[in-house]
Amino acid sequence: MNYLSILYLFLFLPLTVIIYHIVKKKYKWRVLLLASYIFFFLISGNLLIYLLFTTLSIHHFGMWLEKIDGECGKVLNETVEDKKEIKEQFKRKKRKVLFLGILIQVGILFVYKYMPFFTVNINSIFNLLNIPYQFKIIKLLAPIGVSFYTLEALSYMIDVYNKKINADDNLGRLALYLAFFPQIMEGPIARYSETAESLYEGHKITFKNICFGSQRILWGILKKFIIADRLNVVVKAIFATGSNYDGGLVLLGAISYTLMLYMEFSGTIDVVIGSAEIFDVHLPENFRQPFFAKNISEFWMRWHITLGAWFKDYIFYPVSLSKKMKKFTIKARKILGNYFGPIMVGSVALFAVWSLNGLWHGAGWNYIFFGMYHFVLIVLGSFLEPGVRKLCHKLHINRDNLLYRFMQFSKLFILVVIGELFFRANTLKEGFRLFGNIINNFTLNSFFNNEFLKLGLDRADYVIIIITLIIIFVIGLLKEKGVNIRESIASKNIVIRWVIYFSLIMFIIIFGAYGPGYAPVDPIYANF
Amino acid sequence: MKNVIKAIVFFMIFLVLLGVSSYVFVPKNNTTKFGIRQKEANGILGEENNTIDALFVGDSLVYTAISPMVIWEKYGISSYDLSTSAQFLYESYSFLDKALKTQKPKIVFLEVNTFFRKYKLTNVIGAEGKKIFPVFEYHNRWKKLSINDFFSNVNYTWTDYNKGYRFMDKISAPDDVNKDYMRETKEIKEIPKLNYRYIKMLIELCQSKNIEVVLLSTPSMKNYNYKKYKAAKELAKEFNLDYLDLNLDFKIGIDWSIDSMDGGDHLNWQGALKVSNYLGLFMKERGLANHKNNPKYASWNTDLKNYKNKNFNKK
Repeated sequence: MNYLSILYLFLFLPLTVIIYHIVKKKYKWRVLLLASYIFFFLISGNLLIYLLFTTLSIHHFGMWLEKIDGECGKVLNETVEDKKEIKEQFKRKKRKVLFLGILIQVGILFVYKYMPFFTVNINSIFNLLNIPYQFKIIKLLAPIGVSFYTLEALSYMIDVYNKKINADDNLGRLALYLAFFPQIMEGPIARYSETAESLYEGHKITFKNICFGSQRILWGILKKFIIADRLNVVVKAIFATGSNYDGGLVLLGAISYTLMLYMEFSGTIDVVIGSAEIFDVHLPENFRQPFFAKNISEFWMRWHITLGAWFKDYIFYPVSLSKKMKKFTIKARKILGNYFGPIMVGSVALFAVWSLNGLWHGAGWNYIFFGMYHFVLIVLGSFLEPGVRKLCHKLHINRDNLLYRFMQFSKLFILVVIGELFFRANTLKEGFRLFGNIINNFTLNSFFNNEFLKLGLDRADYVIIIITLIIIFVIGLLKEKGVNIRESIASKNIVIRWVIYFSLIMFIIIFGAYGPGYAPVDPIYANF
Repeated sequence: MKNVIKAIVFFMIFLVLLGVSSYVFVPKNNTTKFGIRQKEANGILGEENNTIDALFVGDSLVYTAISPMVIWEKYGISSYDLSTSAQFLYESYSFLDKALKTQKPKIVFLEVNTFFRKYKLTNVIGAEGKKIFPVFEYHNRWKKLSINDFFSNVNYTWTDYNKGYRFMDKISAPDDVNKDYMRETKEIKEIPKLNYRYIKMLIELCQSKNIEVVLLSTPSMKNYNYKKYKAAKELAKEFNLDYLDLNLDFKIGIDWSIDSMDGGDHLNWQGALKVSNYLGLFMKERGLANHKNNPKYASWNTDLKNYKNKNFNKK
């Protein structure tokens, strides 16, 4: 069952909503928790035990950390001298506990996701060094969503450690925060402070929530069914035997994959956020018109926002604000100046962020390359920025004018597409081969002699993709201008509203890429 | 209360829209040009009412193994292959139900291989949805809609001279004899619950119309084994039906070195000839009429000519 299946949309979700609505307020959270565990069991079976273990584990570690704080307070109250030393002692103890807590979670993630990758590479190194030993490669079936809920579990423990939140003694509330079914497969990665209470307190299901939630779900279905599932036909053809195609077609495949990934992931997130909205739970947004960004750095603040924010809060800041790095910053400022100095130091933290970001997506060199590629682009962007600014000033180029913005968009789009090409490629080697094909064998002939129509989509399919992209672009543009589209539709009279809704529904039913000739995209991010 | 009424009205309008769009999108005739799917099996919709005496229901093992024209030529019995690739039982039911609205066969053969093909309840729900609102099945016809689609009614006129059979002349012997092929074992192949439900429904549908049901296993080295044979035998016993197994009990015998088109998976026309003759004789013995000289069946003799000319002389 995935979020865009008949089973979820027409049975699981409505049934949960009805039961949630019927039961008394104090039982509502139990309905959500039970539904969440059933959902998890349906997609991952007995691996549910890992989610339960993680829940119990972080509950225990949270309480433990808070207990240490309590003991520290008590001891401090009873002693007069050397409070600083006592605080340090307790802090060290807390750090050890946190470290252990993190180790357990990361350990599970490592065993499930990364062990085969690392054993293969260690074996290769052994081979190179002529060491006559090979580790056995053990591949385990990972629980779906493990990458997402692990990050939530870590953020909870770190936030308790940093006293941003109090440890939750209510196991049910914590369990629901971690397991809430709309989020468990593909995020968004929420913080405890953002959703736990709202999930637990139990809300009344209102007509408005149902309408707004359903609208958001519908919008997600449109992205997935009309564009992502349609483009999947081209993506599968090109990436299966990409090296057989000319550069123009490989580029078409890479662009198709980029758009497909965006439509599939953001579409699923629309369904996820819409589902939660029905329960009056507001999940953090994961996308904010990423292709409207001015550069790669901003792109990542608009694409998979909650993952970026997680890395920023739990990797970038702790690394860049550590004592050693602070000293390094002071030195770097002296040598490189106030602009380049901090950037230089920030790059070290960014390197950690992007290595982990690449690895988070999967255990493969292509993912690590994907992370490094963006690391280089972001650092390069920061270093070049003052130069570009000066140049524009000298040449009297207005960086806000339409032509400049279009150039910025084109550059961004090309860079993102190249990154996604490596991301999608089966191996890093294959990624380079495909990229080499685009560069060395580029021709538009396949578009003139209609070769591109042999990939599985006909002209009408491309037309419908373009029309839908234009609709999504216009909606995105309005959002960028600060228009709240859903509220403005809601304020119209019922005839206009219903015409819009029915048009949207019938648009999906008629132009959706389902049935023979199409192959729906499997949830891409659920595998990460 | 106001909101409940609103929701009901919204839903009603939605149903009307689905109904209207289904009217537009449903193929107006049973040909590829009109956008019909599974043209061969749907060819039965164009046959004159109450002219078919036997139906063969199942997956590709049916349309490669049973040639109704071979049966017609030798025994004058009118039959039809209601078969589609990788058919699921809920599809079998749907085809049979549709066919029985215009035909009154004496015998329905259910090919057993379909009994073991798993599916989920959601597949059934989806298929039922498509049946009620064909727009879900034929929505992709938006690319080829014409003005007629908006105003004309459905009128099925096309008939298939192969009567659902698909002629295959390729010869491909199995590389190796499948060791599991009909090797005796105590195990029995399990029939999923949902499948069992549909088998029962299929049998009951026929019995309610006084049609005899016969279970059938056509020869296939790749698809059949003793476990399936045992399961089918038990079913036949349970429902008091005849079971014709042409893998273990086939007297005529299949020569796998020349009778298969794809290494023992499906039969070619030579294999089909053996199976069809066998089934023809079986039906004759069951008392099915010879219509060869019946003027009502004149088109069948024309179809036979086409069957021969177009299949055997195509090169």
